[in-house]
Amino acid sequence: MTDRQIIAEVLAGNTPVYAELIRRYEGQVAATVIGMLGKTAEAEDVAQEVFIRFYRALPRFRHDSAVATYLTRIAINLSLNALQRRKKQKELFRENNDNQLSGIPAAEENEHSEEIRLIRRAITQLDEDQRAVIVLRLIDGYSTKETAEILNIPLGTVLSRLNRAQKKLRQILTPLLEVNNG
Amino acid sequence: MDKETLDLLYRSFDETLSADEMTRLQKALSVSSELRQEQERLRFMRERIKNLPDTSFGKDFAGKVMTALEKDNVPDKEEIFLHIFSRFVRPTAIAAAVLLTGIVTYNLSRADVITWETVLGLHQTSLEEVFDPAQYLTVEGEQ
Repeated sequence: MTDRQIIAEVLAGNTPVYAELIRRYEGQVAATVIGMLGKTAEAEDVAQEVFIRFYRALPRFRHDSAVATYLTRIAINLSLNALQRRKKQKELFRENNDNQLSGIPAAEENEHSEEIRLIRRAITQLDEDQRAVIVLRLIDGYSTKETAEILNIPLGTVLSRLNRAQKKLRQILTPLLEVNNG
Repeated sequence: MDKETLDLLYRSFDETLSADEMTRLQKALSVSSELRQEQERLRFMRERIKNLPDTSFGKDFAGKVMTALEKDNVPDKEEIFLHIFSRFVRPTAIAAAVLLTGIVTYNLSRADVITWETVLGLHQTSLEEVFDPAQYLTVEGEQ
Protein backbone atom coordinates (compact mmCIF):
# COMPACT_ATOMS: atom_id res chain seq x y z
CA MET A 1 0.00 0.00 0.00
CA THR A 2 1.50 3.36 -0.96
CA ASP A 3 1.46 6.42 1.26
CA ARG A 4 -1.10 7.98 -1.04
CA GLN A 5 -3.38 4.93 -0.76
CA ILE A 6 -3.09 4.90 3.03
CA ILE A 7 -3.98 8.59 3.20
CA ALA A 8 -6.96 8.07 0.89
CA GLU A 9 -8.15 5.19 3.10
CA VAL A 10 -7.80 7.25 6.27
CA LEU A 11 -9.70 10.14 4.70
CA ALA A 12 -12.43 7.72 3.66
CA GLY A 13 -12.90 6.82 7.32
CA ASN A 14 -10.61 3.82 7.73
CA THR A 15 -8.64 5.42 10.55
CA PRO A 16 -6.84 2.25 11.82
CA VAL A 17 -4.81 2.15 8.58
CA TYR A 18 -3.04 5.25 9.83
CA ALA A 19 -1.05 2.99 12.19
CA GLU A 20 0.73 1.60 9.13
CA LEU A 21 1.90 5.08 8.16
CA ILE A 22 3.13 5.64 11.73
CA ARG A 23 5.11 2.39 11.67
CA ARG A 24 6.57 3.34 8.30
CA TYR A 25 7.91 6.71 9.43
CA GLU A 26 8.43 6.21 13.15
CA GLY A 27 12.16 5.62 12.71
CA GLN A 28 12.69 8.75 10.71
CA VAL A 29 10.66 10.93 13.05
CA ALA A 30 12.48 9.36 16.00
CA ALA A 31 15.87 10.15 14.45
CA THR A 32 14.88 13.78 13.95
CA VAL A 33 13.25 14.30 17.33
CA ILE A 34 15.88 12.39 19.33
CA GLY A 35 18.60 14.23 17.41
CA MET A 36 17.02 17.51 18.45
CA LEU A 37 15.94 16.71 22.00
CA GLY A 38 17.99 13.73 23.06
CA LYS A 39 16.54 10.37 24.03
CA THR A 40 14.04 11.68 26.55
CA ALA A 41 10.39 11.10 27.43
CA GLU A 42 9.74 14.55 26.01
CA ALA A 43 11.10 13.35 22.65
CA GLU A 44 8.51 10.58 22.55
CA ASP A 45 5.72 13.03 23.37
CA VAL A 46 6.88 15.30 20.58
CA ALA A 47 7.04 12.37 18.14
CA GLN A 48 3.46 11.41 19.05
CA GLU A 49 2.39 14.99 18.50
CA VAL A 50 4.05 14.94 15.07
CA PHE A 51 1.81 12.09 13.93
CA ILE A 52 -1.27 13.63 15.54
CA ARG A 53 -0.63 16.94 13.76
CA PHE A 54 -0.10 15.15 10.48
CA TYR A 55 -3.34 13.21 10.95
CA ARG A 56 -5.21 16.46 11.51
CA ALA A 57 -3.55 17.98 8.46
CA LEU A 58 -4.42 15.06 6.15
CA PRO A 59 -7.49 16.73 4.60
CA ARG A 60 -5.21 19.60 3.54
CA PHE A 61 -2.26 17.43 2.47
CA ARG A 62 -1.81 17.92 -1.28
CA HIS A 63 1.17 15.58 -1.82
CA ASP A 64 3.28 18.55 -2.92
CA SER A 65 6.11 17.13 -0.85
CA ALA A 66 6.84 13.59 0.26
CA VAL A 67 5.19 12.39 3.46
CA ALA A 68 8.66 11.96 5.00
CA THR A 69 9.58 15.58 4.28
CA TYR A 70 6.27 16.85 5.62
CA LEU A 71 6.68 14.81 8.81
CA THR A 72 10.27 16.00 9.21
CA ARG A 73 9.13 19.60 8.89
CA ILE A 74 6.54 19.10 11.64
CA ALA A 75 9.10 17.21 13.76
CA ILE A 76 11.68 19.98 13.48
CA ASN A 77 9.16 22.72 14.27
CA LEU A 78 7.76 20.89 17.29
CA SER A 79 11.27 20.08 18.51
CA LEU A 80 12.28 23.73 18.22
CA ASN A 81 9.16 24.66 20.22
CA ALA A 82 10.10 22.09 22.85
CA LEU A 83 13.62 23.52 23.03
CA GLN A 84 12.17 26.98 23.52
CA ARG A 85 10.01 25.68 26.37
CA ARG A 86 13.05 23.96 27.83
CA LYS A 87 15.00 27.20 27.66
CA LYS A 88 12.23 29.05 29.48
CA GLN A 89 12.09 26.34 32.14
CA LYS A 90 15.85 26.52 32.51
CA GLU A 91 15.64 30.26 33.01
CA LEU A 92 12.95 29.77 35.63
CA PHE A 93 14.82 27.08 37.52
CA ARG A 94 18.45 27.98 37.03
CA GLU A 95 19.58 26.04 40.04
CA ASN A 96 17.88 22.88 38.77
CA ASN A 97 20.42 20.25 37.83
CA ASP A 98 17.96 17.99 36.11
CA ASN A 99 19.58 16.36 33.10
CA GLN A 100 16.60 17.00 30.86
CA LEU A 101 16.65 20.69 31.56
CA SER A 102 20.34 21.01 30.85
CA GLY A 103 19.77 19.35 27.49
CA ILE A 104 21.62 16.17 28.39
CA PRO A 105 19.42 13.22 27.58
CA ALA A 106 18.76 11.29 30.75
CA ALA A 107 17.87 8.05 29.03
CA GLU A 108 21.23 8.09 27.25
CA GLU A 109 22.80 6.80 30.45
CA ASN A 110 21.71 3.36 29.30
CA GLU A 111 23.40 3.58 25.91
CA HIS A 112 25.94 0.82 25.55
CA SER A 113 28.33 2.70 23.42
CA GLU A 114 30.25 5.51 25.03
CA GLU A 115 30.98 6.91 21.58
CA ILE A 116 27.31 7.12 20.62
CA ARG A 117 26.53 8.74 23.93
CA LEU A 118 29.28 11.31 23.40
CA ILE A 119 28.11 12.15 19.89
CA ARG A 120 24.47 12.50 20.86
CA ARG A 121 25.45 14.62 23.81
CA ALA A 122 27.64 16.82 21.63
CA ILE A 123 24.74 17.44 19.25
CA THR A 124 22.48 18.47 22.11
CA GLN A 125 25.09 21.04 23.12
CA LEU A 126 24.72 22.92 19.84
CA ASP A 127 22.49 25.98 19.52
CA GLU A 128 19.03 24.95 18.39
CA ASP A 129 19.48 26.44 14.91
CA GLN A 130 22.78 24.68 14.37
CA ARG A 131 21.35 21.48 15.81
CA ALA A 132 18.49 21.54 13.31
CA VAL A 133 20.82 21.73 10.31
CA ILE A 134 23.08 18.98 11.66
CA VAL A 135 20.10 16.71 12.32
CA LEU A 136 18.57 17.31 8.90
CA ARG A 137 21.81 17.19 6.93
CA LEU A 138 23.78 14.49 8.69
CA ILE A 139 21.31 12.35 10.62
CA ASP A 140 18.30 12.51 8.28
CA GLY A 141 20.50 12.77 5.19
CA TYR A 142 18.77 15.65 3.44
CA SER A 143 20.70 17.75 0.93
CA THR A 144 21.59 21.31 1.89
CA LYS A 145 18.88 22.55 -0.49
CA GLU A 146 16.23 20.31 1.09
CA THR A 147 17.41 21.37 4.54
CA ALA A 148 16.92 25.00 3.53
CA GLU A 149 13.42 24.21 2.27
CA ILE A 150 12.41 22.31 5.40
CA LEU A 151 13.67 25.08 7.67
CA ASN A 152 12.40 27.77 5.31
CA ILE A 153 15.71 29.62 5.39
CA PRO A 154 18.15 30.60 2.61
CA LEU A 155 20.70 28.05 1.43
CA GLY A 156 23.53 30.38 2.48
CA THR A 157 22.23 30.38 6.04
CA VAL A 158 22.15 26.57 6.06
CA LEU A 159 25.75 26.44 4.86
CA SER A 160 27.03 28.93 7.40
CA ARG A 161 25.16 27.18 10.23
CA LEU A 162 26.55 23.84 9.09
CA ASN A 163 30.03 25.30 9.05
CA ARG A 164 29.74 26.74 12.55
CA ALA A 165 28.02 23.64 13.90
CA GLN A 166 30.75 21.35 12.58
CA LYS A 167 33.46 23.52 14.08
CA LYS A 168 31.73 23.39 17.43
CA LEU A 169 31.19 19.63 17.22
CA ARG A 170 34.81 19.20 16.25
CA GLN A 171 35.76 21.13 19.38
CA ILE A 172 33.42 19.21 21.69
CA LEU A 173 34.42 15.85 20.23
CA THR A 174 38.17 16.52 20.23
CA PRO A 175 38.96 13.71 22.71
CA LEU A 176 37.00 11.16 20.66
CA LEU A 177 38.46 12.31 17.34
CA GLU A 178 42.01 12.33 18.59
CA VAL A 179 41.73 8.84 20.02
CA ASN A 180 40.40 7.52 16.72
CA ASN A 181 42.39 9.63 14.27
CA GLY A 182 45.61 10.45 16.05
CA MET B 1 47.05 25.44 8.85
CA ASP B 2 45.61 28.92 8.26
CA LYS B 3 42.06 29.85 9.10
CA GLU B 4 41.06 30.47 5.48
CA THR B 5 42.23 27.04 4.31
CA LEU B 6 40.56 25.39 7.29
CA ASP B 7 37.35 27.17 6.38
CA LEU B 8 37.63 25.87 2.81
CA LEU B 9 38.08 22.38 4.18
CA TYR B 10 34.92 22.62 6.29
CA ARG B 11 32.95 24.09 3.41
CA SER B 12 34.15 21.40 1.00
CA PHE B 13 31.97 18.80 2.72
CA ASP B 14 28.67 20.55 1.96
CA GLU B 15 29.37 23.10 -0.73
CA THR B 16 30.61 23.00 -4.26
CA LEU B 17 33.74 25.11 -4.09
CA SER B 18 34.74 27.31 -7.00
CA ALA B 19 37.54 26.02 -9.22
CA ASP B 20 39.94 28.46 -7.65
CA GLU B 21 38.98 27.48 -4.10
CA MET B 22 39.23 23.80 -4.96
CA THR B 23 42.72 24.28 -6.40
CA ARG B 24 43.83 26.13 -3.27
CA LEU B 25 42.42 23.44 -1.02
CA GLN B 26 43.99 20.59 -3.02
CA LYS B 27 47.32 22.35 -2.97
CA ALA B 28 47.12 22.92 0.78
CA LEU B 29 46.15 19.30 1.36
CA SER B 30 49.07 18.07 -0.69
CA VAL B 31 51.58 19.95 1.43
CA SER B 32 50.06 19.82 4.91
CA SER B 33 49.78 16.53 6.75
CA GLU B 34 48.06 18.42 9.56
CA LEU B 35 45.32 19.53 7.16
CA ARG B 36 44.95 15.99 5.82
CA GLN B 37 44.62 14.73 9.36
CA GLU B 38 41.96 17.34 10.05
CA GLN B 39 40.12 16.27 6.91
CA GLU B 40 40.16 12.68 8.17
CA ARG B 41 38.86 13.75 11.59
CA LEU B 42 36.03 15.69 10.01
CA ARG B 43 35.18 12.81 7.73
CA PHE B 44 35.20 10.45 10.72
CA MET B 45 32.99 12.79 12.76
CA ARG B 46 30.46 13.16 9.96
CA GLU B 47 30.38 9.42 9.34
CA ARG B 48 29.82 8.71 13.00
CA ILE B 49 26.93 11.18 13.16
CA LYS B 50 25.42 9.78 9.95
CA ASN B 51 25.68 6.26 11.28
CA LEU B 52 24.14 6.81 14.66
CA PRO B 53 22.06 3.71 15.38
CA ASP B 54 18.43 3.71 14.35
CA THR B 55 16.18 4.83 17.10
CA SER B 56 12.61 4.03 17.95
CA PHE B 57 10.26 4.58 20.84
CA GLY B 58 9.40 0.94 21.42
CA LYS B 59 7.18 -1.46 19.56
CA ASP B 60 3.86 -0.01 20.74
CA PHE B 61 4.54 3.53 19.62
CA ALA B 62 1.98 3.35 16.81
CA GLY B 63 -0.60 2.00 19.28
CA LYS B 64 0.04 4.90 21.64
CA VAL B 65 -0.46 7.41 18.85
CA MET B 66 -3.67 5.72 17.73
CA THR B 67 -4.99 5.80 21.32
CA ALA B 68 -4.07 9.47 21.57
CA LEU B 69 -5.88 10.09 18.28
CA GLU B 70 -9.02 8.39 19.56
CA LYS B 71 -8.95 10.61 22.64
CA ASP B 72 -8.20 13.54 20.43
CA ASN B 73 -11.34 12.81 18.44
CA VAL B 74 -13.53 13.54 21.48
CA PRO B 75 -13.04 17.31 21.21
CA ASP B 76 -13.88 16.88 17.54
CA LYS B 77 -17.54 16.48 18.57
CA GLU B 78 -17.26 19.88 20.11
CA GLU B 79 -15.79 21.11 16.86
CA ILE B 80 -18.71 19.56 14.99
CA PHE B 81 -21.12 21.39 17.30
CA LEU B 82 -19.27 24.65 16.72
CA HIS B 83 -19.30 23.96 13.01
CA ILE B 84 -23.07 23.41 13.04
CA PHE B 85 -23.47 26.47 15.21
CA SER B 86 -21.51 28.67 12.89
CA ARG B 87 -23.11 27.15 9.80
CA PHE B 88 -26.78 27.26 10.80
CA VAL B 89 -27.47 29.02 14.08
CA ARG B 90 -25.43 32.12 13.44
CA PRO B 91 -26.96 32.94 10.02
CA THR B 92 -30.41 32.33 11.48
CA ALA B 93 -29.66 34.73 14.33
CA ILE B 94 -28.38 37.35 11.90
CA ALA B 95 -31.48 36.98 9.71
CA ALA B 96 -33.71 37.31 12.78
CA ALA B 97 -31.87 40.45 13.88
CA VAL B 98 -32.25 42.00 10.44
CA LEU B 99 -35.95 41.12 10.36
CA LEU B 100 -36.50 42.58 13.82
CA THR B 101 -34.72 45.79 12.88
CA GLY B 102 -36.92 46.06 9.80
CA ILE B 103 -40.09 45.57 11.81
CA VAL B 104 -39.06 48.12 14.42
CA THR B 105 -38.14 50.64 11.74
CA TYR B 106 -41.46 50.09 9.98
CA ASN B 107 -43.41 50.44 13.24
CA LEU B 108 -41.58 53.60 14.17
CA SER B 109 -42.18 55.12 10.77
CA ARG B 110 -45.92 54.63 11.21
CA ALA B 111 -46.15 55.76 14.82
CA ASP B 112 -47.02 59.30 15.94
CA VAL B 113 -45.34 58.88 19.30
CA ILE B 114 -42.51 56.62 20.33
CA THR B 115 -43.51 54.17 23.00
CA TRP B 116 -42.64 50.53 23.65
CA GLU B 117 -45.97 49.61 22.13
CA THR B 118 -45.29 51.50 18.91
CA VAL B 119 -41.77 50.08 18.68
CA LEU B 120 -43.01 46.55 19.15
CA GLY B 121 -46.06 47.13 16.95
CA LEU B 122 -48.48 46.27 19.72
CA HIS B 123 -52.05 47.34 19.23
CA GLN B 124 -52.57 50.78 20.72
CA THR B 125 -55.82 51.01 22.62
CA SER B 126 -57.66 54.15 21.73
CA LEU B 127 -59.75 56.13 24.16
CA GLU B 128 -62.78 55.26 22.09
CA GLU B 129 -62.17 51.57 22.65
CA VAL B 130 -61.88 51.97 26.40
CA PHE B 131 -64.66 54.36 26.74
CA ASP B 132 -67.45 54.28 24.20
CA PRO B 133 -69.45 57.41 24.78
CA ALA B 134 -72.35 55.88 22.93
CA GLN B 135 -72.90 53.51 25.78
CA TYR B 136 -73.20 56.23 28.38
CA LEU B 137 -74.38 59.26 26.60
CA THR B 138 -77.98 58.67 26.02
CA VAL B 139 -80.26 61.15 24.51
CA GLU B 140 -83.45 61.50 26.42
CA GLY B 141 -86.43 60.07 24.70
CA GLU B 142 -84.46 57.62 22.59
CA GLN B 143 -84.81 54.66 25.00
